Amino acid sequence: MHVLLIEPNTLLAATYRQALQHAGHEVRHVTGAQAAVMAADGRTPDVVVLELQLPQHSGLEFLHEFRSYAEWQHVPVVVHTLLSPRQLAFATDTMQRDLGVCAVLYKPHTSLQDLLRTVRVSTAAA
Amino acid sequence: MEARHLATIEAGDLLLSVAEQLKVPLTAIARQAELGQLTGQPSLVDAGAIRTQADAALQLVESYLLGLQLMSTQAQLDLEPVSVSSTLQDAAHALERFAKQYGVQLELHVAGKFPPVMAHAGGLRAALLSLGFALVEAQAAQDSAKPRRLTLATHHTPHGIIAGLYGDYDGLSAKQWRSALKLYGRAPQPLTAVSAGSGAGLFVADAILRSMESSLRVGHYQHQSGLAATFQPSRQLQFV
Amino acid sequence: MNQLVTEAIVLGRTDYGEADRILTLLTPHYGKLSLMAKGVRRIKSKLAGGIELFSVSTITFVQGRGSVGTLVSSRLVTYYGNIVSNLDRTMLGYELIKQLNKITEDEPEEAYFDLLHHTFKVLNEVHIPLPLIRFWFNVQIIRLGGHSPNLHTDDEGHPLDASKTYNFNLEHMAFTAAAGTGRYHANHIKFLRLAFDGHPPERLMAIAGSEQLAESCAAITTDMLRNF
Repeated sequence: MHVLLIEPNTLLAATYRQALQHAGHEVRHVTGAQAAVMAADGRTPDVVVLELQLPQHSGLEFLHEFRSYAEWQHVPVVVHTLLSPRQLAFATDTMQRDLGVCAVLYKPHTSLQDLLRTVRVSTAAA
Repeated sequence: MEARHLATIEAGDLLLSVAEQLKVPLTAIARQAELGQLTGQPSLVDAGAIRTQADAALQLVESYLLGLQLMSTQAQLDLEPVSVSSTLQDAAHALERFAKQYGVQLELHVAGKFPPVMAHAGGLRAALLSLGFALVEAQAAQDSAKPRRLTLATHHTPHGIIAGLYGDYDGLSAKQWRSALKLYGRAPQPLTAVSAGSGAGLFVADAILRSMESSLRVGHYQHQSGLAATFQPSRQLQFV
Repeated sequence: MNQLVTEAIVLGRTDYGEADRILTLLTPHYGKLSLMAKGVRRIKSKLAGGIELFSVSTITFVQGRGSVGTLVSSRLVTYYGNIVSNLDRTMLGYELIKQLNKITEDEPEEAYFDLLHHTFKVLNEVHIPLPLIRFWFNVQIIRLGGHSPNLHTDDEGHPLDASKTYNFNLEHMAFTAAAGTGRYHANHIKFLRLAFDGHPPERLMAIAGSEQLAESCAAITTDMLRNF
């Protein structure tokens, strides 16, 4: 699978990239929303792993733009964020219903194994 | 009583911001440790990255605690003649490994003679380090094709000696910084132009500097923007 | 061809063919516009612009023969970046844009542009509570639709009494005296009067308990919106 990893912290990204690559995935890493749209334009990802807190933008702005392209409307998106479940309480439903987010993971509590499993399940369901 | 109440609120907001920020290095350390177990390849674990993240987290906690201490003892602050350029140089050295891990090039511009300023030496160092760690991480995250570069610079102005850290932060403005000073601890991302996270290091640095009658402001240096503080040279020391 | 210049807020973007995008924009003098941005799917185009949701731009466009004009250029004027400092604010902003997009017709209505622009400004002021912003926005939508509840007499024509409590009768768009304890009392009614008189959230916020009043009165505005 080709994974588009949108993660502003480059050290965290390196770890996630290594884990995903070990699981057999190809990974394209970007730190922000605009670069993510350009990366997707270069090659449509099979799945997007998205941090909501991005420099200059919100991950929601990326999602809104991403879903406005016909060819990306069904690409599974896994939100993998530092925002806590409490901070996400009101947003989760809308993200899942309107923006096609298939899973919302809280980074500090999500092991690499959990992330890999979620990516696997999301792409299988797509 | 009211001033103390306000100081308590500020300390509380700062703690919330620091707590949010600490999620990053602690998550990074946990996931790096797991990577070795997951892959069965301990060699994949970047011990250097773990050390860097742990050191940065510890520095943030120490700076925060020092900041609290300085805010509460402001009237009896232990001031001494401090060389701003030397302290900046020292901070650059301490930031080197962290910046390298993040792929950010540090540049130091402290040429020229700068008279000493009266400051709390430990506080000034902690503030510059705190600011540095936050801005390195933020620079590495910028959604831009520009090379990742952070400049540490001291220069003279009619208002005093300015010491600042500057990078390429798209859209950083004085208005946004003023807004962020009201938002930290209450919004997860108070300064989106610079930081994808809580940016706690920036506000800890500001709190420390304000205890020394300075503060962080948005500044510009050689086509870069960043945060800087102004210090007044000590007139007394000119006669020593 | 005449090129026209206007302020605009992007409500949405969709694909058109292989290389183009259709932008749906709200403007003060031309109402809701659909404009084709040619070649922007090759992202490096100067018209690709940013992906900012909460922004006001100045655009130059040419009106089309049909319903879709052509975007010539776009320049970001203001980006309300504080909105994205907090996910709940971002979500509310996103929902209000969606709500406005749904209800606006193609008629030039400067008031809708002003409403959305003002909404971005208040969302950007993070000290203004979200329930208050949502309530105020809904009230403005109702007012712009030409509706307004009767906030001075009850459904039998008697002046509203500060010592009584009431329930709201949606069919009559008026308060009805409660047999026992009603849901709304004098403070709710005064608050609704201020809101329906067009006072901005900054002004409403000055009222003691405004956030709770907004939450209590939300049911009235939500029911009205559902019915109109």
